[in-house]
Amino acid sequence: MRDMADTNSDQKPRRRPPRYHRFRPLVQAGFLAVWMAPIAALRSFPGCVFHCYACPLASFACPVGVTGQLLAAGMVPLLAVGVVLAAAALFGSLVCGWACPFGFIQDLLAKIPSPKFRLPNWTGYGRYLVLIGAVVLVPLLWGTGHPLFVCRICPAGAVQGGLGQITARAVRTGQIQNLLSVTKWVILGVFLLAAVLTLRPWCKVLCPLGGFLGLFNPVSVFHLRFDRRACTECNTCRSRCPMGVKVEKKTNVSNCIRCMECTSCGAILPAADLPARRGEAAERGR
Amino acid sequence: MARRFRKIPQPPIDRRGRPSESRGPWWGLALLTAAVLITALGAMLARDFRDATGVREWRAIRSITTGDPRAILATDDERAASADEPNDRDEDETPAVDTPGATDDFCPT
Repeated sequence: MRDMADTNSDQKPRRRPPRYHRFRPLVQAGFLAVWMAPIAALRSFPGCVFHCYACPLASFACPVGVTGQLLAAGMVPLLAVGVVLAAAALFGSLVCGWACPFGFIQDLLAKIPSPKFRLPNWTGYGRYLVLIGAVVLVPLLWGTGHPLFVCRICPAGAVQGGLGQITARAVRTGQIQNLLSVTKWVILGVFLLAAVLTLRPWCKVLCPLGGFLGLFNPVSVFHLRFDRRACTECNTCRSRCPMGVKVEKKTNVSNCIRCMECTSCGAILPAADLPARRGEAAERGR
Repeated sequence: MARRFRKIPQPPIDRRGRPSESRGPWWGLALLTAAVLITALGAMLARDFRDATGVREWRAIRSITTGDPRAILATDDERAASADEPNDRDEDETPAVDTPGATDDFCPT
Protein backbone atom coordinates (compact mmCIF):
# COMPACT_ATOMS: atom_id res chain seq x y z
CA MET A 1 0.00 0.00 0.00
CA ARG A 2 2.74 2.39 0.97
CA ASP A 3 4.77 1.50 -2.11
CA MET A 4 1.76 1.99 -4.27
CA ALA A 5 1.21 5.42 -2.78
CA ASP A 6 4.84 6.35 -3.34
CA THR A 7 4.87 5.28 -6.98
CA ASN A 8 1.73 7.28 -7.65
CA SER A 9 2.76 10.31 -5.68
CA ASP A 10 4.11 12.11 -8.71
CA GLN A 11 0.82 11.73 -10.59
CA LYS A 12 -1.43 13.60 -8.20
CA PRO A 13 -0.41 15.64 -5.16
CA ARG A 14 -1.87 14.27 -1.94
CA ARG A 15 -4.43 16.52 -0.30
CA ARG A 16 -3.41 17.65 3.17
CA PRO A 17 -5.38 15.93 5.90
CA PRO A 18 -7.86 18.18 7.65
CA ARG A 19 -6.51 19.51 10.92
CA TYR A 20 -9.59 19.60 13.06
CA HIS A 21 -7.60 19.34 16.27
CA ARG A 22 -5.97 22.72 15.67
CA PHE A 23 -9.29 24.43 16.30
CA ARG A 24 -9.95 22.51 19.50
CA PRO A 25 -8.57 25.06 22.00
CA LEU A 26 -10.66 27.78 20.37
CA VAL A 27 -13.80 25.67 20.49
CA GLN A 28 -13.08 24.72 24.10
CA ALA A 29 -12.64 28.38 25.03
CA GLY A 30 -15.90 29.21 23.25
CA PHE A 31 -17.76 26.53 25.18
CA LEU A 32 -16.18 27.74 28.41
CA ALA A 33 -17.87 31.07 27.78
CA VAL A 34 -21.16 29.22 27.40
CA TRP A 35 -20.79 27.23 30.62
CA MET A 36 -19.66 30.30 32.55
CA ALA A 37 -22.36 32.79 31.67
CA PRO A 38 -24.31 33.05 34.91
CA ILE A 39 -27.97 33.19 34.06
CA ALA A 40 -30.07 32.13 37.02
CA ALA A 41 -32.88 30.82 34.87
CA LEU A 42 -30.57 28.43 33.09
CA ARG A 43 -28.86 27.17 36.23
CA SER A 44 -31.95 25.19 36.99
CA PHE A 45 -31.27 23.13 33.87
CA PRO A 46 -28.58 20.44 33.81
CA GLY A 47 -25.92 20.79 31.15
CA CYS A 48 -24.16 17.93 29.43
CA VAL A 49 -20.63 18.62 30.68
CA PHE A 50 -18.73 18.23 33.93
CA HIS A 51 -18.95 21.70 35.44
CA CYS A 52 -19.63 22.30 39.12
CA TYR A 53 -22.82 24.28 39.65
CA ALA A 54 -21.35 25.69 42.87
CA CYS A 55 -19.05 27.79 40.67
CA PRO A 56 -20.32 31.37 40.96
CA LEU A 57 -20.24 31.71 37.17
CA ALA A 58 -21.88 28.38 36.31
CA SER A 59 -24.71 28.74 33.84
CA PHE A 60 -26.02 25.17 33.99
CA ALA A 61 -26.32 22.56 36.73
CA CYS A 62 -23.85 19.68 36.73
CA PRO A 63 -25.66 16.55 35.51
CA VAL A 64 -23.62 14.31 37.82
CA GLY A 65 -24.32 16.44 40.88
CA VAL A 66 -28.01 16.68 40.01
CA THR A 67 -28.22 12.92 39.53
CA GLY A 68 -26.62 12.24 42.91
CA GLN A 69 -28.80 14.80 44.68
CA LEU A 70 -32.04 13.55 43.23
CA LEU A 71 -31.20 9.90 43.80
CA ALA A 72 -30.46 10.76 47.43
CA ALA A 73 -33.93 12.29 47.62
CA GLY A 74 -35.42 9.14 46.16
CA MET A 75 -36.23 10.70 42.81
CA VAL A 76 -35.37 9.75 39.27
CA PRO A 77 -33.15 12.40 37.61
CA LEU A 78 -35.04 12.32 34.32
CA LEU A 79 -33.95 15.76 33.11
CA ALA A 80 -30.24 15.16 33.74
CA VAL A 81 -30.33 11.68 32.22
CA GLY A 82 -32.30 12.91 29.22
CA VAL A 83 -29.94 15.80 28.47
CA VAL A 84 -26.82 13.68 28.83
CA LEU A 85 -28.34 10.85 26.81
CA ALA A 86 -29.21 13.27 24.01
CA ALA A 87 -25.62 14.54 23.94
CA ALA A 88 -24.35 10.96 24.03
CA ALA A 89 -26.62 9.86 21.18
CA LEU A 90 -25.57 12.75 18.98
CA PHE A 91 -21.89 13.18 19.79
CA GLY A 92 -20.72 10.46 22.19
CA SER A 93 -17.60 11.57 23.98
CA LEU A 94 -16.94 14.39 21.50
CA VAL A 95 -18.40 16.46 24.33
CA CYS A 96 -15.42 15.50 26.52
CA GLY A 97 -12.79 16.47 24.00
CA TRP A 98 -14.30 19.67 22.69
CA ALA A 99 -16.85 21.10 25.12
CA CYS A 100 -16.02 20.04 28.67
CA PRO A 101 -14.57 22.93 30.71
CA PHE A 102 -12.95 20.57 33.18
CA GLY A 103 -11.22 18.78 30.31
CA PHE A 104 -10.06 22.16 29.03
CA ILE A 105 -8.53 22.94 32.44
CA GLN A 106 -6.64 19.65 32.29
CA ASP A 107 -5.46 20.36 28.75
CA LEU A 108 -4.11 23.72 29.90
CA LEU A 109 -2.39 22.19 32.93
CA ALA A 110 -0.80 19.56 30.68
CA LYS A 111 0.93 22.36 28.78
CA ILE A 112 3.16 22.99 31.80
CA PRO A 113 6.50 21.49 30.79
CA SER A 114 7.18 18.28 32.71
CA PRO A 115 7.79 14.61 32.05
CA LYS A 116 4.52 13.00 30.96
CA PHE A 117 3.43 9.57 32.08
CA ARG A 118 0.88 7.35 30.41
CA LEU A 119 -1.70 5.63 32.56
CA PRO A 120 -2.58 2.05 31.59
CA ASN A 121 -5.87 1.60 29.78
CA TRP A 122 -7.38 -0.66 32.43
CA THR A 123 -7.55 2.33 34.79
CA GLY A 124 -10.48 3.54 32.64
CA TYR A 125 -12.76 1.09 34.45
CA GLY A 126 -12.44 3.36 37.49
CA ARG A 127 -14.94 5.68 35.80
CA TYR A 128 -17.64 3.04 36.06
CA LEU A 129 -16.77 2.36 39.68
CA VAL A 130 -17.31 6.06 40.41
CA LEU A 131 -20.49 6.14 38.33
CA ILE A 132 -22.06 3.13 39.99
CA GLY A 133 -20.61 3.71 43.45
CA ALA A 134 -20.34 7.43 44.20
CA VAL A 135 -23.07 8.70 41.86
CA VAL A 136 -25.74 6.00 42.19
CA LEU A 137 -25.26 3.61 45.12
CA VAL A 138 -23.86 5.94 47.79
CA PRO A 139 -26.62 8.57 47.47
CA LEU A 140 -29.28 5.89 47.18
CA LEU A 141 -28.13 3.97 50.25
CA TRP A 142 -26.53 6.59 52.50
CA GLY A 143 -27.60 9.98 51.16
CA THR A 144 -25.50 13.04 50.42
CA GLY A 145 -23.83 13.10 53.83
CA HIS A 146 -21.61 10.11 53.07
CA PRO A 147 -17.93 11.05 52.61
CA LEU A 148 -17.84 9.15 49.32
CA PHE A 149 -20.79 11.01 47.81
CA VAL A 150 -19.67 12.27 44.40
CA CYS A 151 -19.89 16.00 45.19
CA ARG A 152 -17.73 15.52 48.26
CA ILE A 153 -14.87 13.88 46.35
CA CYS A 154 -15.21 15.78 43.08
CA PRO A 155 -12.14 17.76 41.97
CA ALA A 156 -14.32 19.92 39.71
CA GLY A 157 -16.07 21.02 42.86
CA ALA A 158 -12.73 21.90 44.41
CA VAL A 159 -11.41 23.77 41.35
CA GLN A 160 -14.49 25.41 39.90
CA GLY A 161 -16.76 25.56 42.92
CA GLY A 162 -14.24 25.94 45.74
CA LEU A 163 -11.65 28.19 44.17
CA GLY A 164 -14.43 30.03 42.35
CA GLN A 165 -16.30 30.74 45.56
CA ILE A 166 -13.11 31.78 47.36
CA THR A 167 -12.32 34.21 44.55
CA ALA A 168 -15.88 35.53 44.42
CA ARG A 169 -15.93 36.15 48.16
CA ALA A 170 -12.49 37.76 48.04
CA VAL A 171 -13.71 40.15 45.36
CA ARG A 172 -16.90 40.91 47.28
CA THR A 173 -15.56 41.23 50.82
CA GLY A 174 -11.87 41.88 50.26
CA GLN A 175 -10.98 38.93 52.50
CA ILE A 176 -9.71 35.53 51.53
CA GLN A 177 -11.70 32.85 53.35
CA ASN A 178 -11.01 29.16 53.36
CA LEU A 179 -14.17 27.47 52.16
CA LEU A 180 -12.68 24.09 51.42
CA SER A 181 -12.33 21.19 53.79
CA VAL A 182 -8.96 19.45 54.22
CA THR A 183 -10.19 16.58 52.06
CA LYS A 184 -11.02 18.95 49.23
CA TRP A 185 -7.62 20.61 49.46
CA VAL A 186 -5.95 17.20 49.22
CA ILE A 187 -8.14 16.25 46.25
CA LEU A 188 -7.32 19.59 44.63
CA GLY A 189 -3.57 19.14 45.12
CA VAL A 190 -3.52 15.57 43.84
CA PHE A 191 -5.61 16.54 40.82
CA LEU A 192 -3.42 19.52 39.90
CA LEU A 193 -0.24 17.44 40.20
CA ALA A 194 -1.69 14.57 38.18
CA ALA A 195 -2.95 16.92 35.45
CA VAL A 196 0.56 18.30 34.99
CA LEU A 197 2.22 14.88 34.91
CA THR A 198 -0.22 13.00 32.71
CA LEU A 199 -2.82 13.82 30.07
CA ARG A 200 -6.42 14.13 31.24
CA PRO A 201 -6.07 12.03 34.42
CA TRP A 202 -9.59 12.71 35.68
CA CYS A 203 -11.16 11.94 32.31
CA LYS A 204 -9.19 8.76 31.90
CA VAL A 205 -9.49 7.25 35.35
CA LEU A 206 -12.45 8.63 37.30
CA CYS A 207 -14.89 10.80 35.35
CA PRO A 208 -18.36 9.22 35.66
CA LEU A 209 -19.84 11.48 32.99
CA GLY A 210 -17.09 10.64 30.51
CA GLY A 211 -17.61 6.97 31.24
CA PHE A 212 -21.32 7.29 30.54
CA LEU A 213 -20.81 9.29 27.33
CA GLY A 214 -18.11 6.88 26.18
CA LEU A 215 -20.52 3.96 26.42
CA PHE A 216 -22.41 5.47 23.49
CA ASN A 217 -19.40 5.98 21.23
CA PRO A 218 -20.14 2.81 19.23
CA VAL A 219 -23.67 4.00 18.37
CA SER A 220 -23.54 7.81 18.38
CA VAL A 221 -24.53 9.72 15.24
CA PHE A 222 -21.13 11.38 15.09
CA HIS A 223 -18.42 8.76 14.82
CA LEU A 224 -14.96 8.22 13.46
CA ARG A 225 -13.93 5.82 10.73
CA PHE A 226 -10.60 4.28 9.99
CA ASP A 227 -9.70 4.05 6.32
CA ARG A 228 -7.21 1.21 6.07
CA ARG A 229 -6.34 2.10 2.49
CA ALA A 230 -5.13 5.55 3.54
CA CYS A 231 -3.07 4.20 6.47
CA THR A 232 0.67 4.45 5.95
CA GLU A 233 1.47 2.92 9.37
CA CYS A 234 3.11 6.13 10.51
CA ASN A 235 1.90 5.46 14.09
CA THR A 236 0.86 9.09 14.50
CA CYS A 237 -2.63 8.16 15.67
CA ARG A 238 -1.37 6.05 18.56
CA SER A 239 1.40 8.34 19.65
CA ARG A 240 -0.81 11.44 19.65
CA CYS A 241 -3.75 9.90 21.46
CA PRO A 242 -3.88 11.30 25.03
CA MET A 243 -6.03 8.37 26.14
CA GLY A 244 -3.81 5.62 24.75
CA VAL A 245 -6.44 4.25 22.35
CA LYS A 246 -5.31 1.89 19.58
CA VAL A 247 -7.53 3.69 17.14
CA GLU A 248 -6.64 1.65 14.10
CA LYS A 249 -7.90 -1.49 15.84
CA LYS A 250 -11.18 -0.16 17.14
CA THR A 251 -12.02 3.43 16.46
CA ASN A 252 -15.12 4.19 18.51
CA VAL A 253 -14.19 2.80 21.92
CA SER A 254 -15.50 3.97 25.27
CA ASN A 255 -12.23 5.44 26.53
CA CYS A 256 -11.79 7.72 23.49
CA ILE A 257 -12.53 11.42 24.15
CA ARG A 258 -12.68 12.23 20.42
CA CYS A 259 -10.13 15.00 20.63
CA MET A 260 -9.41 14.21 16.94
CA GLU A 261 -5.64 14.31 17.41
CA CYS A 262 -5.55 10.97 15.59
CA THR A 263 -7.05 12.52 12.47
CA SER A 264 -3.89 14.42 11.64
CA CYS A 265 -2.59 11.69 9.28
CA GLY A 266 -5.84 11.47 7.31
CA ALA A 267 -6.54 7.76 7.80
CA ILE A 268 -8.98 8.32 10.64
CA LEU A 269 -11.70 10.83 9.95
CA PRO A 270 -15.20 11.75 11.01
CA ALA A 271 -17.62 9.53 9.12
CA ALA A 272 -19.11 12.48 7.26
CA ASP A 273 -15.72 13.42 5.86
CA LEU A 274 -14.62 9.95 4.83
CA PRO A 275 -16.47 9.34 1.55
CA ALA A 276 -14.56 12.16 -0.18
CA ARG A 277 -11.32 10.83 1.23
CA ARG A 278 -12.15 7.32 0.09
CA GLY A 279 -12.55 8.49 -3.46
CA GLU A 280 -9.23 10.22 -3.21
CA ALA A 281 -7.50 7.14 -1.81
CA ALA A 282 -8.99 4.97 -4.52
CA GLU A 283 -7.71 7.43 -7.09
CA ARG A 284 -4.23 7.27 -5.58
CA GLY A 285 -4.32 3.48 -5.57
CA ARG A 286 -5.21 3.23 -9.24
CA MET B 1 0.47 21.53 21.50
CA ALA B 2 3.64 20.33 19.88
CA ARG B 3 5.24 19.73 23.24
CA ARG B 4 2.22 17.99 24.64
CA PHE B 5 1.79 15.59 21.80
CA ARG B 6 5.40 14.84 21.19
CA LYS B 7 5.55 11.49 19.48
CA ILE B 8 6.08 8.69 21.94
CA PRO B 9 7.37 5.34 20.61
CA GLN B 10 4.50 2.91 20.43
CA PRO B 11 4.21 -0.72 19.38
CA PRO B 12 3.92 -1.02 15.61
CA ILE B 13 0.52 -1.13 14.00
CA ASP B 14 -0.16 -4.68 12.93
CA ARG B 15 -1.13 -5.33 9.36
CA ARG B 16 -3.81 -7.83 10.29
CA GLY B 17 -7.07 -7.14 12.04
CA ARG B 18 -7.62 -3.54 11.06
CA PRO B 19 -11.35 -3.33 10.55
CA SER B 20 -12.86 -0.16 9.21
CA GLU B 21 -16.08 0.41 11.08
CA SER B 22 -18.97 1.11 8.84
CA ARG B 23 -22.32 1.93 10.32
CA GLY B 24 -25.20 4.26 9.89
CA PRO B 25 -26.60 6.82 12.30
CA TRP B 26 -29.80 4.87 13.01
CA TRP B 27 -29.02 3.58 16.49
CA GLY B 28 -27.87 7.05 17.48
CA LEU B 29 -31.05 8.63 16.13
CA ALA B 30 -33.21 6.09 17.95
CA LEU B 31 -31.36 6.87 21.17
CA LEU B 32 -31.76 10.58 20.53
CA THR B 33 -35.52 10.14 20.23
CA ALA B 34 -35.58 8.30 23.55
CA ALA B 35 -33.45 11.03 25.12
CA VAL B 36 -35.77 13.78 23.90
CA LEU B 37 -38.76 11.93 25.37
CA ILE B 38 -36.98 11.48 28.71
CA THR B 39 -35.96 15.16 28.74
CA ALA B 40 -39.52 16.28 27.98
CA LEU B 41 -40.85 14.05 30.75
CA GLY B 42 -38.20 15.37 33.13
CA ALA B 43 -39.03 18.98 32.25
CA MET B 44 -42.72 18.38 32.93
CA LEU B 45 -42.07 16.69 36.26
CA ALA B 46 -39.57 19.36 37.32
CA ARG B 47 -42.36 21.92 37.46
CA ASP B 48 -44.14 19.88 40.06
CA PHE B 49 -40.91 19.10 41.82
CA ARG B 50 -39.88 22.69 42.51
CA ASP B 51 -42.56 23.11 45.14
CA ALA B 52 -42.31 19.62 46.51
CA THR B 53 -40.97 20.52 49.93
CA GLY B 54 -42.03 17.28 51.49
CA VAL B 55 -38.92 15.42 50.42
CA ARG B 56 -35.68 15.05 52.31
CA GLU B 57 -33.06 17.78 51.79
CA TRP B 58 -35.50 19.79 49.75
CA ARG B 59 -33.55 22.99 50.22
CA ALA B 60 -30.43 21.54 48.64
CA ILE B 61 -32.45 20.12 45.81
CA ARG B 62 -34.19 23.42 45.29
CA SER B 63 -30.82 25.04 44.89
CA ILE B 64 -29.96 22.79 41.99
CA THR B 65 -33.33 22.79 40.35
CA THR B 66 -33.99 26.50 40.58
CA GLY B 67 -30.45 27.83 40.83
CA ASP B 68 -30.91 29.77 44.02
CA PRO B 69 -27.38 30.95 44.89
CA ARG B 70 -28.34 31.82 48.44
CA ALA B 71 -28.54 28.16 49.34
CA ILE B 72 -24.95 27.72 48.23
CA LEU B 73 -23.85 30.43 50.64
CA ALA B 74 -25.84 29.06 53.56
CA THR B 75 -23.90 27.47 56.40
CA ASP B 76 -24.21 23.93 57.66
CA ASP B 77 -26.03 25.14 60.77
CA GLU B 78 -28.68 26.82 58.70
CA ARG B 79 -29.05 23.73 56.60
CA ALA B 80 -29.34 21.57 59.67
CA ALA B 81 -31.91 23.97 61.10
CA SER B 82 -33.83 23.95 57.85
CA ALA B 83 -33.80 20.15 57.85
CA ASP B 84 -35.27 20.09 61.37
CA GLU B 85 -37.93 22.68 60.80
CA PRO B 86 -41.29 21.87 59.21
CA ASN B 87 -40.97 21.50 55.49
CA ASP B 88 -44.01 23.56 54.64
CA ARG B 89 -42.23 26.77 55.62
CA ASP B 90 -42.03 29.45 52.97
CA GLU B 91 -38.92 28.85 50.91
CA ASP B 92 -38.22 32.53 50.44
CA GLU B 93 -37.48 32.90 54.12
CA THR B 94 -34.04 31.36 53.58
CA PRO B 95 -31.62 34.04 54.80
CA ALA B 96 -28.97 35.21 52.38
CA VAL B 97 -26.13 34.90 54.82
CA ASP B 98 -22.50 35.45 54.00
CA THR B 99 -20.73 34.25 57.11
CA PRO B 100 -17.20 35.56 57.54
CA GLY B 101 -14.73 32.89 58.57
CA ALA B 102 -16.98 30.04 57.64
CA THR B 103 -14.98 26.92 56.96
CA ASP B 104 -17.80 24.68 55.88
CA ASP B 105 -17.93 23.12 52.50
CA PHE B 106 -19.23 25.42 49.80
CA CYS B 107 -21.34 22.69 48.36
CA PRO B 108 -25.07 22.82 49.08
CA THR B 109 -24.87 19.26 50.27
